[in-house]
Amino acid sequence: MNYSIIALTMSLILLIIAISLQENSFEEFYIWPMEADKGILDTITTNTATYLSRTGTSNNVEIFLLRNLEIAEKYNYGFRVLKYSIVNATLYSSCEKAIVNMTVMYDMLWGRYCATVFLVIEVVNITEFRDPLTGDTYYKIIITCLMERGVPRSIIGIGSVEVSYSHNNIWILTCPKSLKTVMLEDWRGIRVELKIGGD
Amino acid sequence: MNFTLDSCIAVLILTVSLTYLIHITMTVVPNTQHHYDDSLIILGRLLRYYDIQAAIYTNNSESVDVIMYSTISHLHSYYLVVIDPEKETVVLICGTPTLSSYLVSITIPGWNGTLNPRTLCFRVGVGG
Repeated sequence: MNYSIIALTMSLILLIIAISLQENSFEEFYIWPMEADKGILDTITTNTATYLSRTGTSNNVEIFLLRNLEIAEKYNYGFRVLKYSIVNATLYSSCEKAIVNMTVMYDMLWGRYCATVFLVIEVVNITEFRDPLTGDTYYKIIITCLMERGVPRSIIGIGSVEVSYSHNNIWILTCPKSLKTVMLEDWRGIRVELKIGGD
Repeated sequence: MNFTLDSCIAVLILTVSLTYLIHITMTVVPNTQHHYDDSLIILGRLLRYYDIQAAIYTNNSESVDVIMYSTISHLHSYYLVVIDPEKETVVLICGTPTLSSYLVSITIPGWNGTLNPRTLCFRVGVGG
């Protein structure tokens, strides 16, 4: 056989190897992983839940969510949301329980993702005690907390409310009896309001 | 075709194609060691636990360090630069500067109910 033909055949094989090497490396560099999408979506949902809990109304929640998605799509080259729908945007507050729940369904290029963010505070017990030195009366409220991934990392009280962790998801709040509501905030910034003193 | 001319052409063709293959291999292989995707996946997973957002938005670099080393292998190091994309200013720099090239980035639109985007430029690798 002619040497040139053999060499041409071999170079064609080498060319195919070179192209496939280049293509594979290209793919490896520029794949936008699903985990990155999920991280951004969870952040957006939490940010929206925080906005909902702080404004106390669900009127502008969708606009806020949309602005978040626009910013995320502007700066992340691989992030694209095809469609979204707010499944749940709930605020509930009573003397026994306080709930913030934000659930959004996102349609992505790789499939559907449901991001849920919630914080539930439940009152177990309320007792009163009087400071013998000042004569002021305080509430001691025992609560349990729940979020979508178990127990919150931390909870703080807003204003003159003190929060301490006891054990096994039991938290103790101390506040002056004069307060009508107790505002609590978790480490993500989500706020819930507990009504005390009867409603 | 003359035997000598034929073999010369064959050698020339093979030389060119081999040189091209070597060139491609040399440009591709060193880059694959940077693990772009690994860094992006780790950053995406970190965002799902919210600690990194809390640390970034409070400019707490010590907290970032603790969060990172609790996630990655003790044999690895990381490099993180947080940028405000609207003002184009660097907000926070953490980690090992030897890993400061080939960074991947994710921008989060805000935190704590705000619209205040931050771009996280990140890389994890062996570089301590």
